[in-house]
Formats: sequence, C-alpha cells, structure tokens
Amino acid sequence: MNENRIDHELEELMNQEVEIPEAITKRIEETCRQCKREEEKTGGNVIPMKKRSVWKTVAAVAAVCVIGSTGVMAATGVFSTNKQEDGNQTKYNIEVDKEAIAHDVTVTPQYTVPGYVDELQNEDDSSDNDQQADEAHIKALLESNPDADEQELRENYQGYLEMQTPTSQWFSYATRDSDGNFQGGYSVSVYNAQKLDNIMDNWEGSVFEYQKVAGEEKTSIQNLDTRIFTYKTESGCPMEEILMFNSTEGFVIQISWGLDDKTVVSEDEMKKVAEGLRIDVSDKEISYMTDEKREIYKRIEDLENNMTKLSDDSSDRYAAGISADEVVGIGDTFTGDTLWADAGAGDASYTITDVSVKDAISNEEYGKEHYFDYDGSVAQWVNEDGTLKAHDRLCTPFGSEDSTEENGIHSKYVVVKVKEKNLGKETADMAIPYLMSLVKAEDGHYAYPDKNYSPYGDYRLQGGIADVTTANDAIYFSEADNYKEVKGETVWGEHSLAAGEEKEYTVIYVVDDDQLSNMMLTFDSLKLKREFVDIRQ
Amino acid sequence: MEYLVKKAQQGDQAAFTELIKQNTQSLYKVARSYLNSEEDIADAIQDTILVCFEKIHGLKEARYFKTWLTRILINKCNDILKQGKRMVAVEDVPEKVNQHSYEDELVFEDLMHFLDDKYRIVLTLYYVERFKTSEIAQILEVSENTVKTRLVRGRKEFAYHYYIGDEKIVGGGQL
Repeated sequence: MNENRIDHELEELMNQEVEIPEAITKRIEETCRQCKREEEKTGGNVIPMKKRSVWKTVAAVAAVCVIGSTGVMAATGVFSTNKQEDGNQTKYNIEVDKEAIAHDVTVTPQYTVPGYVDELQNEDDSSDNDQQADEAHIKALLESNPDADEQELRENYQGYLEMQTPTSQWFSYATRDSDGNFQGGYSVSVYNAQKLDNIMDNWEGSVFEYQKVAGEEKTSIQNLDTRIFTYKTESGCPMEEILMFNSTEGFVIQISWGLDDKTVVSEDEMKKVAEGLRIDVSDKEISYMTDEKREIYKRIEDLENNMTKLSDDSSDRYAAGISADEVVGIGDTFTGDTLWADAGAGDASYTITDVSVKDAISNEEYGKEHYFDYDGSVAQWVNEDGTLKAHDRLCTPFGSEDSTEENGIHSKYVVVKVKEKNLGKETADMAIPYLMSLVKAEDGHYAYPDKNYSPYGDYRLQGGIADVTTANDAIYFSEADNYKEVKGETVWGEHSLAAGEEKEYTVIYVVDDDQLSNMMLTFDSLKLKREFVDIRQ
Repeated sequence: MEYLVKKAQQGDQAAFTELIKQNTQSLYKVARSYLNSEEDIADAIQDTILVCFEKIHGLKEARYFKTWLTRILINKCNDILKQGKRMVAVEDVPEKVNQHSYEDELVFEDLMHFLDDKYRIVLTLYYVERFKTSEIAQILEVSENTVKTRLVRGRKEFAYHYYIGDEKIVGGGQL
C-alpha cells in the first residue's frame, strides 16, 4: 500500500462522523446548560463548580484554628476528652489510653430520613474512579518501592484508607445536583479507640473542631453523653453535628449534616437517626497503630498529596512553567523511557555528560555526514571560518499574534554529549533530546518565555518549526550517517539500542545568543512526566 | 467560527453552546484518542467546556480558538491519565480489533481500538483537526521530529492492521 493511499484512508476514517455515546452527549449538553445557568446567575463571573462529592472527609471540613482555654469534660475509661473553647470556636482533643483495649465498633441506622438512601447500598460512579485512583497510587508506591512486598503494600494501603475514612455514610439522592454530585445529605460515622488515636495524631483533632459556633446543646441520646453543635464552616456554610461519646467502651459517634443550603433535613430528624442507631461493640480486640505503621501511612499520605498536586488543574501549566523538581543538571543520570515504551516504563537512563558553547566548529571534527542535510540546510548559514552567519527571526509575544521581525541575530553552536543506556530486556528505539527555552524565575521554577521566536525565511538551523522556543531540534547527531528523510520511513535522531547497551553520542544545536541563558534539554515525548536538564550557559 | 467565538466572548450563551456543538465531534475524537473509558472522556470534555466557558473572555485571537480548546482538552486528558483513571475496569476497555478485510467497514472507533495510544493523538490532530506538524508540536509541547515520528509510526501501524483487497498487508507491516 503506498503512502498516499494510507493518507487517504486515514483521512477518510478519521473524519467519519462518529456516534458519540449518549452518556457523553448528555454530559456535554448538561455542561452547556450549567454554563448558561452560571452566566445568568453571575453575569459572566463564573463560580467554580464542584464535580465530585467530598463527603468522604466531611468530618474534617473545619480547618485547624488556634485554641485558647481548655477544660476537661471526661476522663474515664478508654479515653479522656479535653474540650477547648476560644471565643466561638470549640475543639475536642481526645487522648486515648493505649493500655486500654480497643474494640471494633459498628453503627447501623435503624431509621433513615425519608428520601435518603445509604450511599454504600447504591452504585455511585465516583466509587469506580476512586478504585482506579487507588490502584494508580498503589502502582506508584510499588514503583517507588521496588523491593516492597506487593501484598503487604496493598494491605498497608487498605489500612491507610480505612484509617482515613469514617465508617458509615449516608447521602441523599434527592439532593443530587444536575451533575449527579451530592449537594446535601448527612453522614454517620463512628470512631473506635484506634481510629480516635489515629485521627488525633494525624489530624490534630480537627475532626472534632467547630468554628463560628452558634449553639451547643448538651443532651443524652442512647444514654450516651451527647453534644449537638450548630456552627459554620470557614466558607460560611451552616452545619450541625451530633457527637455521642462513650469513653467506657471507647468510641465516638459523629452525625453531620448541612454543608450547603440544599440540605433540608432537620435536627429533629437527625436526632431520630441517632436514637435509632444500633451500636455493636465487637469482642474482638484491635491493636493501636505502631510507630512503624504510622511511618508507612505517612509515606502513603505524602504520595497521595503529591498525586493530588499533580492532578490539579493544569490548563494554566504553560503559564506556571516547570517546577524545579522536574529539572536535573549536567552530569545527573536520570531514568526515563525508551521511545516507544509506555509512559513511566523507566527502561532507559540518560545523562548529559558535557555541554559546550562554540563560536565555530569544523567539518573535520564534526563530519558533514552526521548533519541533517548539511549541503541543503546548513552550509548556506556557515561562514568559511566555521562561525554562523547572522539570521532573521520573528518575535511573537506570548498570547499575541502580532509578530515583529528581528534582523541580524547572532547564534552559536551548543555541543551536547549524551550518554544513554537501554535498561530493558529488548532492543529499543531511542530519540535524541531537544532544546527548549525556559527562563529561571526568582522562586526557582522555570517559566516559559514571554516571547516566542520563529525561524524566518529559509533559515532551518533551529529545527525549522514555527516556534523554536518550544522545541529546537539538533542539526547534528553523531550516530546519523548521511541522513536522508524519506517520507514515511525515517525520522531524524531515531536510533536503536540493544538490551543493556550503553551509548554515548554528540548532538549539536544552534542557539541564538540571547537564548543561551535559557537552555533546557528534554527528551521526547508525549509522556506524562519528563525530566528537563538545565544546561543554561 | 470566529464570529461565534467573539459572540461567546461577549457573553452570548447561545453562541457558546453552538460553538461547543460545532466542536463536539472534534472534542470527542481528541479525548477518545487519549482515553478509553466513557466516563473519563465525559469528564475531560466537561472540564474542558467549563474552562473554556470561564476563560474564553481572555482569548485574544478568536481564530486560534480551536487550537486553544484542543490544548485545554489535552491538558484535561493528561490530568486524568496522571490520576491513573485510565486503568479502567476490564469491561470498559474494548478488545483489540483484528485485521480487517476490505469487506469490513472500518470506522473511527476501530482505529482507536487497534492504534496504539502513542499514535492516536498525533494522527487525530493531524487528520481530524488538520493541524500542521509544527502546530501539533506546539500544542503538545514536543519537537516537530517527535510529531513526525509518531505520524510515521502511526501510519505504519495503521497499514499493519488494515489491508485492502489484493494489496493485503499481513503481519509485516510493509508499506
């Protein structure tokens, strides 16, 4: 099949009108309607819309705040409760006596507010996503701990999740918004002594912390010492919470509702829920967390935080630039992927061993046969002494389409030596790195430049693409041999490496004088994560 | 489309909706080229529309709307991939399609099945969005060589899986 035929077939196939799954079409339509409502509501000032329920951590909604006075409320049995009040802020610190035996405790509502259903008994598409995210996190943990026992790691991860998640939770489908998100409802959680110990240690008691307290009712439900708080979250959402303490058997029951103005359940209804709870204290003893376990969970938590950071909205990534964490230096060996490996395969290592900037280079040292089309693209821009002729370029401020021509731009050769190794078990294709321009900011991160430079006329020494600040390709590759681009067959810089083979090669770039201080090297690709090598001169 | 973009920038909701409607096929195809699960695709497109709605007022050149929109979508798809949501339940992942005979009617979805995801996005941007290789390089923030490499490989893989009448390609992927 010839190339044109393939082009034609691909063009036809790719441009077929596809039948978009109904669920996606509906989501698109609903999102447009949602935008319309926001437009009407805000007059164009868009309020960010929450996509997923956050009830998993509803108990930790209130932020940690400075607490002043203290007072002991109860100090018997498995734990003692220290209530701290400062103005209209109230917080409970619970100190667990680890000499006391901790038992598992479950609560089962015997009364459910009409119209409300147990989330755990209903399919919720976000739970699938949670599972997938959990799997990804487990995979990442395994990658960062190659010697770890997978089964043990999975158990630890499960333990970590259980430590984080209160037990029972109920939501109301009746108050789901048009996105299917839970916008109201109530949750019922129980904390046994082990959990109390964990959350006090990890969350510093913020689980039982209330700001802007408008009311506190002391009462007794099921013969348990009970407090009912009416308060507001930091963002001003009214909430209510019932806390039921049992220090003798070592558990606290927490019933929360509110969070937004769509919750319609009343305090009386919630009292009925509390009164109707079946509380089962297991005979089975559960152990408190060891320091070793705590350390493991801390590492998992760090990973979770990093991954959450990664998943933050990256639409402004370009403006944000590149974090210093993604940047290594000359001489640093880093693990990457071979050309066709799946992202994160880690089947190759790379080191930029040397970088030198030269005014001139000779064909004796760097043979013409290793250039990308020396006679056709390079020779006309090289003086007899090996220096580069001045060239013109177009300068375009970021975000603008108004380009200005800049003439007489001087440039230099940047000679880069690369060492690479195929860490995989099979021969693999490799790619040469390319250059980007990134400006090191005062805070250490690397920002994209506020101007882009483009080749002008028939100047092709910087890759020949529209924007050389994004990617400047090498003109010389020591492993290339009389390279000739044949459509559909060969690509500049691509080469293969046997399993375990290590290779050193030289690539040469042409860089404008004013960009020498912004040079960053990076390797192919459309990968999720890539390393940048700071070679600024 | 530029007219619609400008109207949408002025707060014309109907224009915005029409703009999205006109780009729905593209949005779906690009998202599909990254993601396998319907839920992920819907999430990516939804987030893209929301960002588009929020930031369209700041788009300086209406004629670059499509490039801008595509870039947002790709970022959203990458976000989802980073979250690991791509590891969808087995039943969500379509089985790979075997080589087709001429009689079979090959459709876009088949391409998504048998093309490796490394090539899908570049092929989609090239053939569906009709971006130049240099533009794709800019959108994806990779070198033009990388884009060309993916195009070459993508075409080869397509040829490998696809055969027509007597020009049958079996196994070797010869062009």
